[in-house]
Amino acid sequence: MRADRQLPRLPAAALLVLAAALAAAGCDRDRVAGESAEPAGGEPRRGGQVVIGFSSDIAGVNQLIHASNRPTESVLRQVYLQLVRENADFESGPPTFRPDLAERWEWSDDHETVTFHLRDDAGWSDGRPVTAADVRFSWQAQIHPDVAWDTAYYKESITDVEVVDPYTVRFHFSRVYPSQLLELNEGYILPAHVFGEIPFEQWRTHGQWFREHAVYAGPFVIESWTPQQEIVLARNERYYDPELPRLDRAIFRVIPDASSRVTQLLSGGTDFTDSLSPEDAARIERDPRLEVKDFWGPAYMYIGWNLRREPFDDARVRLALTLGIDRQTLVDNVWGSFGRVSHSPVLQNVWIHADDIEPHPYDPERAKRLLAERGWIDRDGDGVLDKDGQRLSFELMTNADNRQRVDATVLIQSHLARIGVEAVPRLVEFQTLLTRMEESDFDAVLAAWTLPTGLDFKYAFHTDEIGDGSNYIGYSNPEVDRLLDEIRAQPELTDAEPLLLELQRTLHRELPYTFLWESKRAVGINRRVHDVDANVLYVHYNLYDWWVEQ
Amino acid sequence: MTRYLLRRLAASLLLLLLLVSLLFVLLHAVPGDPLNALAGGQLERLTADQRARLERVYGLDRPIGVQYLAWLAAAARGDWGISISRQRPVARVIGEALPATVLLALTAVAIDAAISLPLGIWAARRRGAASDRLVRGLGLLLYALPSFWLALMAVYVFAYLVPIFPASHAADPGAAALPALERFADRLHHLALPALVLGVATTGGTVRYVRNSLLGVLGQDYVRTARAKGLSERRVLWVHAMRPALAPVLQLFGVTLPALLNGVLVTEVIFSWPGIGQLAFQAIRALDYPLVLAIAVLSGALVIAGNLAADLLHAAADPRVRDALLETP
Repeated sequence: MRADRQLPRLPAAALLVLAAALAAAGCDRDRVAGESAEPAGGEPRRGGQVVIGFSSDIAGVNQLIHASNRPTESVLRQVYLQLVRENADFESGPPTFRPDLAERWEWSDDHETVTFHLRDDAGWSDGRPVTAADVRFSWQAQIHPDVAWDTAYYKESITDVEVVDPYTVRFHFSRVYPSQLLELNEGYILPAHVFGEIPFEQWRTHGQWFREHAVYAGPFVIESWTPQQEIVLARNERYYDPELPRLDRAIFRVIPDASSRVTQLLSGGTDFTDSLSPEDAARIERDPRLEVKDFWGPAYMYIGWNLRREPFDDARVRLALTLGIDRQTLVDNVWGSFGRVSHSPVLQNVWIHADDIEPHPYDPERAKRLLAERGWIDRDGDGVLDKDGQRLSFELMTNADNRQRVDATVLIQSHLARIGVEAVPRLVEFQTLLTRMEESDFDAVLAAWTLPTGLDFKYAFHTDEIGDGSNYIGYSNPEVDRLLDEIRAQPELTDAEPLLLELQRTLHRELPYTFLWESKRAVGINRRVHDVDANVLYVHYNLYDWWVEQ
Repeated sequence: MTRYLLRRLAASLLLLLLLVSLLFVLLHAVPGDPLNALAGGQLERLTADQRARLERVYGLDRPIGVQYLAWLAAAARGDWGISISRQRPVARVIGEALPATVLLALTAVAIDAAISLPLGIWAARRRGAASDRLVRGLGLLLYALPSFWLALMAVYVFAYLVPIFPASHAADPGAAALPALERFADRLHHLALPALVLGVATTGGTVRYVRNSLLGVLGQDYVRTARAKGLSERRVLWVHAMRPALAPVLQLFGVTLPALLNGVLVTEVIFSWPGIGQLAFQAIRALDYPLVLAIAVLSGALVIAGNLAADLLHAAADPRVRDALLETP
């Protein structure tokens, strides 16, 4: 169904919501990248442990059968290998990669096959070597319909994974596209000799079995897992780099309550915590033993208008509504210094952001004129515009458990009231919000997407994605469809630059979404921990490099 | 007596059946899809085929009536199914969480009893005095305080201002590697605060109940007779009045079990205590039908059993009630 959807990098990346939305069920992923390691005080030391505050327990040890939430992803990436690792350079250009299990790789001239040469010193924690057979097995599991991995659509253009010899493996593609490497690399290399004991048909009911039998090949192994309490990672003595990891142990401590996570960091109970609010970040910064690192992104917040319903089907009305919201005040109130007004699905810190876009200002007078031109006038003097006996009144829906969103709906209500538009906040439970979006049963929703680092926006704006896909607002514009298709047909992402700029300008003009804000993700770190190279997508990505003072 | 027991048991089972049936319907009426939590809130990423297969694996593809009967039949055999959000047998998931909750709840009940009984007796003996009014006033205050507030205050005071107890969890980081004795001490250290909160939260009601129950008995004719016989006040109180007065108190512990379970939920969530309360909280959020239902059956059965046990204890402690039961046709 979802033939060639390319969301370069994060499967979850493109997806709905929640960057800041759900700490507990978090939906974007933590992942890798970069080489901006920060100079540390003194020589790296081997030994010691860190305690990391975590919003929720992990779902299990077999990535393919569990919900792809942030905590699970953060832990599993420490205990399994990938062929290559993506660098954290998505802000400055198309994603690049560095070796992991594969020492090197080369593409065929037609770019339809790629051959990976695996290192021969990678081993599972039970002593068996990691080989090409594991790579092929992992691919078979990823695409097996009964395993039903939620990111299987990444693999739809891979026709075969061929074991050339125990340390050489070749991927065959049915077509050429910009995100081939990114997508083939998604998912961890799983132990064929262990996980293969359970037929794929039974994977979904064997979470317990995998938990009891898993073996690992990453820098760490899961030493113990006490449900709802903690996951203890210990150094994998068989990891291919004998220098790493530096820590003996990393303990992921489950602390569901956000203020408790901050309190524990302040009291020294933990060394690291994620997703700080601006107030908490300020508190932590005042403590000389602690430091805060923050990053823009990875999500943007917007109002999605249901284009199947009047009057949202009219671009002039959408423009008027956008002009009627004082977005700067909104962002200042909701996020303070942790937010900025957004104008495009491409975040402002990303290389391809269209800087020439002239932001829509706050202009209530022009908004009123535009609405009047469309026949929306307050004829009955009740303070709300009307036309043909219909009042300009709609429900603005969002999930009640997200404070920023709830605050924003109330502010938007007051801004729009000034131009005679009645926006009624409707706060629902998160699952209900998803269901209502899926069924297109809403007037307008306040929601968010995480940036797809491969910059494929088809999921949200292409006509093909109406119905089964994520284009739940029902946006259909042949010009946008053409741009999205062409972007995906370029051999390299850099070739798509003019198309990506054109796409942003068109969306800014048409306003299927009213873009609201981008916000910061902030982490708090105890200064006794060094070489923490956190980034917005993968906050503990280089855990193996971290070291602590005596 | 046996007939009485059998009748009570049958009624209890019927009640339990009604409870889970109602819950089954209500759960399925909640908007949302358990597969949604499974797909990280991004159901649209699953293909129609994947979705259909997943629904089949978890039995969600059948009509709700069939699902209900199948669930009931399996549950009757002791098969609680596979947790949708955890992909593990429900019985295992609950089995891991249950000991922590039992430990917490029993400690809390012991704390409640240790505080309420002496205070209640003391207040009853000084009926009308300032100390009696103080105990009653404090009891009322505690009774009125929401337990989540008490929990948050306890954390603030004893884990933050005066950090003598850990703020959360059942063990220190990495405690699993400690020797047994240290692990035990660590567990007690972590148990203290949540158990105190949970125990003290119910004290308010219990202390007033003990006092009133004892006062009721002390006003009875046979107590007056005992006093008239010239027995010492001590003997009157401990030999003649205490047993009938404690009977309803024992019953109270059975009857307040729902409140205790409710407190367990709040306390466990606030203290990150790895028990059934926290599990229930997460299962409901994920719409994990099999897990929610199993927890409901467990806590429903506990409440019903608590009531039954309370009645039997009452009968054992109070000959008048026992006789009444035995005479029931």
